[in-house]
Amino acid sequence: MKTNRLLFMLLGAFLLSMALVGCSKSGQDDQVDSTAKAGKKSFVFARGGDSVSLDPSEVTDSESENVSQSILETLVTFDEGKTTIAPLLATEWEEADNGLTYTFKLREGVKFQDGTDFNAEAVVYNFERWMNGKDAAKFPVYASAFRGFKGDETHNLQAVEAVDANTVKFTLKHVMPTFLKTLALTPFSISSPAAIDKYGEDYSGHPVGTGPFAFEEWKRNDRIVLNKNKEYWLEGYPKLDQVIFRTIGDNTARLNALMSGEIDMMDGVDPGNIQQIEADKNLQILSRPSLNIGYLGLTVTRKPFDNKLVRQALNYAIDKDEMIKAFFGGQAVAAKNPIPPAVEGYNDDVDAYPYDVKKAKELLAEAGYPNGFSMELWAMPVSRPYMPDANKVSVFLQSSFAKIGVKAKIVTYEWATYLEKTKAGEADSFLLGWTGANGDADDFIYSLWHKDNIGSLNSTQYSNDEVNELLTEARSVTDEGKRNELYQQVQEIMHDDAPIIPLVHTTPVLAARGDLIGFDPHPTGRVITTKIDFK
Amino acid sequence: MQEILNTQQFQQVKEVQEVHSPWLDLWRRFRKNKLAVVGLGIISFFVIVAIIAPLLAPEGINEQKLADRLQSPSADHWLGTDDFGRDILSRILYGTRISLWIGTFSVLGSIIVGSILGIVAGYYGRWVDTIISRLFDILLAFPSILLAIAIVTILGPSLSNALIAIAIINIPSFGRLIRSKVLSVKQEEYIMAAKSIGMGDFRILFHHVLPNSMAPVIVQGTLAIATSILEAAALGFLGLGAEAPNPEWGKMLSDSRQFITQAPWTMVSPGIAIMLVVIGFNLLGDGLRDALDPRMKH
Amino acid sequence: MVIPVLIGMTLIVFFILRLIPGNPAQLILGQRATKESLEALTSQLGLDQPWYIQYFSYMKGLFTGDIGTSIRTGAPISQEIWPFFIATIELSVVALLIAIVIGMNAGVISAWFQNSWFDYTAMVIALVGISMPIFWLGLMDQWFFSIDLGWLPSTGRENVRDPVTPITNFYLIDTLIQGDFSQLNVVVKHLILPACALGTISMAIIARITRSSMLEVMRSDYIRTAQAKGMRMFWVVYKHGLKNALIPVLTVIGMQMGILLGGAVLTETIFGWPGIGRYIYEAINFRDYPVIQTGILIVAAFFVLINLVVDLLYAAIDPRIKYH
Repeated sequence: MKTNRLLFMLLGAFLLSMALVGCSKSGQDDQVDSTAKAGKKSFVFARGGDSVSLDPSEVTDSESENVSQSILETLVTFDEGKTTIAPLLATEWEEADNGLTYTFKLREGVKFQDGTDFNAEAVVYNFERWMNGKDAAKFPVYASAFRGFKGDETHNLQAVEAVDANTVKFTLKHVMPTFLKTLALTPFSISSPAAIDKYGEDYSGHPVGTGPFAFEEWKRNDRIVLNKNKEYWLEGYPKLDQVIFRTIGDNTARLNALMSGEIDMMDGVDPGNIQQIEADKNLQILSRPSLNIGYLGLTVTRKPFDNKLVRQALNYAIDKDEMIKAFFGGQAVAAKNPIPPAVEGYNDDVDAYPYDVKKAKELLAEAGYPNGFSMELWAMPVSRPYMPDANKVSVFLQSSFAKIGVKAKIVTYEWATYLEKTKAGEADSFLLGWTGANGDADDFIYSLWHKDNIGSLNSTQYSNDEVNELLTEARSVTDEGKRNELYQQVQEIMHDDAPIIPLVHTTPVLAARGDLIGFDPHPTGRVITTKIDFK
Repeated sequence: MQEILNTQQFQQVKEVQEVHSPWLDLWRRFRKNKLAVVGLGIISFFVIVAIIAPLLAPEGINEQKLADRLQSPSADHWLGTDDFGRDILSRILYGTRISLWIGTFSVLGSIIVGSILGIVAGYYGRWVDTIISRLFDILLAFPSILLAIAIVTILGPSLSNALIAIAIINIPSFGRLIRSKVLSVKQEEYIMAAKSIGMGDFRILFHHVLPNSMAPVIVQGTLAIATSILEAAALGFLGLGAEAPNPEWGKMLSDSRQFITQAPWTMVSPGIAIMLVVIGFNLLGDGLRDALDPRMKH
Repeated sequence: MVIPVLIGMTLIVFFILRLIPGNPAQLILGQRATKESLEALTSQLGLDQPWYIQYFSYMKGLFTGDIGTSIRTGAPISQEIWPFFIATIELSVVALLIAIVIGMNAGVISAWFQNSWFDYTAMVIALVGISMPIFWLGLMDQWFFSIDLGWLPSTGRENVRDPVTPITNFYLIDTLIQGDFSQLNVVVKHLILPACALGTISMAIIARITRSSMLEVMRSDYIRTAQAKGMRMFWVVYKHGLKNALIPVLTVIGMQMGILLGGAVLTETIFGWPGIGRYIYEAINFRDYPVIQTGILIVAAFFVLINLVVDLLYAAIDPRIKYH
């Protein structure tokens, strides 16, 4: 009978699933296997989001760059733990013609992972590919660093030539004080020309470089697997056989995976977990020196923030130390300037606004708001290194402002909308921040507070003629001392104008298993796997 | 989530027999069901708590005392404190308001919109019916939580928008229910009679069709409140519900998630609170169903 | 009826997506994006075209078998989506099997021994089961079984250091085909917690519906006759009783499968399960329009398909029902 057969099928399904449940029960006793049974030394790094592309010249997001740094290398790089320049694929360089030409000597005997030679031709090939890009969407970092592409009026890179097999010469149209720091950025990593030709449009899924690890597999939204480059030029490195970048979107799920040994290192640690991790002897906390600023922006074109006194008043209302202790897990320093102390040109003579409720109220009264006012306080929907938990910070700020009679309503939007709306100046006040890419003051202040960037990155809509002039001037000066002086002046003025409440410079933390060594928690947020090893 | 199921069940449920003084009769039958009375008791308790929350709560919901962060339950703080040093008991008491509000009003919203669509579809039939029924099919085929997420993303994350999203995803189940009721009532002789004596469409709908559809809507509405509260908590957990610092239970869970090993009490009590309220509505709904459907009496 | 529903669905999804504020180009380029690069990317993605052109080109693609390209990663969706979809199916099927085995048996026994302590306990548990936020249950399970006791892994579906070689992407089947029982063990361990969390509500619903359906059948005449004829009670209950109580149960099972598929987002989030719910959720956050469109369409098509199968099963079980 038909029905009987169906019943038996169902019964069969029951039995099978029973058996599954049963055998799983029997296997429960042994611990979750954390190390590879194949005897390979593999390292699993977990992060919150997947890469967008494996060709770093196409992207601007750090998740993509962090993977590329293991596969591809740049001509120059940053020193360990600092933002000064160090050799990488170029061993030495020379600046001439008042900073208009740079000549690089390349490291000899280096091979790409596909076996082809790394040489001057390869470097020229890469730069020509970028400068002929003609599409700001394709090579966004190149376009913004060198102001456009070949043929554009503003394009700043005159020529890149191979002088001999191991020497490359760059010629600029205008002085560019940040040239070397720019070349150290991951989007300027050198790819194998043969691979670019071979894969064409698909190159972003098949990167080939000179780095310590070669690309193996990319399972989107799940993992990227890299294998050891046995021919790596640095003797004795890398120490690991395999590096796996895993995507686990949820912070707590990621931490759970670390605690159960499924992964070896993670970024995006919730501040609330830092203490707990520090107390766990199987784990360690690694913190990066701060190269960021987390702030509360005050849109100066909106009432009542068009009034300087109001902006200053709010600056007096926040107990930053208390906030750092509770909502940054202690992993931050209170900010007083729009740039972090590690950046050249930081002005330490600026006196921070102290926590002073009385003074804040006085200023409000003077500005004509003795009973305070109501405003919107926008909280970012995402976690960023400079603001790991915007939600909680916003609740803290809300209660701080309440003490001076300012009623803040917390508002949040999706990230894209949030950025668009803040850029358009639609927020009264908003949490946001910035991580320096190359450790230069220009990257912070010009990008965020020059009037040219209103409508794009200058979300506070701040414009002060004096500041604008000083910032423009600093762009054409190569003398370090003079530049620093200009930036220090800017910080004085901005302190008084108070278009933002500088909140914190965080030291972004990573958590790792206790026996991991050789990792350099670099301030730029990179993940350098070359020297990682297990004790 | 089980609202779809309930629709189906209801399509199998026989017509409710209208006896004289139906409400009294209903109450008598309802009272016999002990579990249902328990459910009613639980809900009454939470409603009272919601109303007098300010009297019961030992502290304000936004009183931050950073020195008292993550205190375990004690005589001062019966349910401990969260990472702002806020009293969890007080927040849970106030949170009752939010959950009841969102559950009740989202369901009311879907009943109203669903009824209008269902009546129009059932009463006028033809292409109007086809379009509306297909719309219901489409909405039901959507993964409901993803649809809710998409709607909140459009409107922007906030409590009222979460309410709207939940209301929208529940519309088709009520719409279908009403439509099938209207279809069956339409065939009744007294409706034909009413039509033949020239009664207007609206009068027929409001005087005859709607009252006949009340019973199943009430039962399903009660059960839908239960699922709506769960859905609101899920949205809150994903950061798409209540804005900070509202003490919405789902949001409380997501805010204290990171403390699950350090301070498990921050996770336990909001979860139990959600569970209790939902149990209340489920019991009440079950009881009402049994009372309204004589077939199910045991 | 299936096709118009699915087409209507593409239209609705398409409109919902265009209503969502936020330019995907902004998310792809991040905070550092300049105005120029934003404009360039927007036009490269074709997002500056009128909606009907975008919709038409999407539909044209669908009919020619091209389900689109992710605008975030630039990879064809057909390449990306399959493993995620299968991962969710595997999770849902296992969750449902657990739910059916435990739920149905609990329901049958509860009905058999009505008003016994077993009945009361089972029904209270079932009540709690449908009243619990499953993400909360998942969190508690995770905390207890994987963090505290360390018995089970907390995230993912395999050991990433020693991954399963996918054949069908159903890892249970793949490891069986390859005869690798240690891998099978790993895969099963990864499945237990999320499947139990995900299956709880279904289990409770199935237990309740089985019980009430069984109670009704058990009172019917022919069961009494069978009993009177001296048949063993076990057979009366499981063979005659359950068979006749199966229709409402089957309806519920069919529905639950659909609900599990779409409702797995939270479970997938908590347990880091690389499934389709999470995939679509991420796509919503990144405004990856083609992925959302196609993802939802696939889930919905599957839902419709399951309903169809359930309808056919009715007919198979009960000859009185004919499928129109």
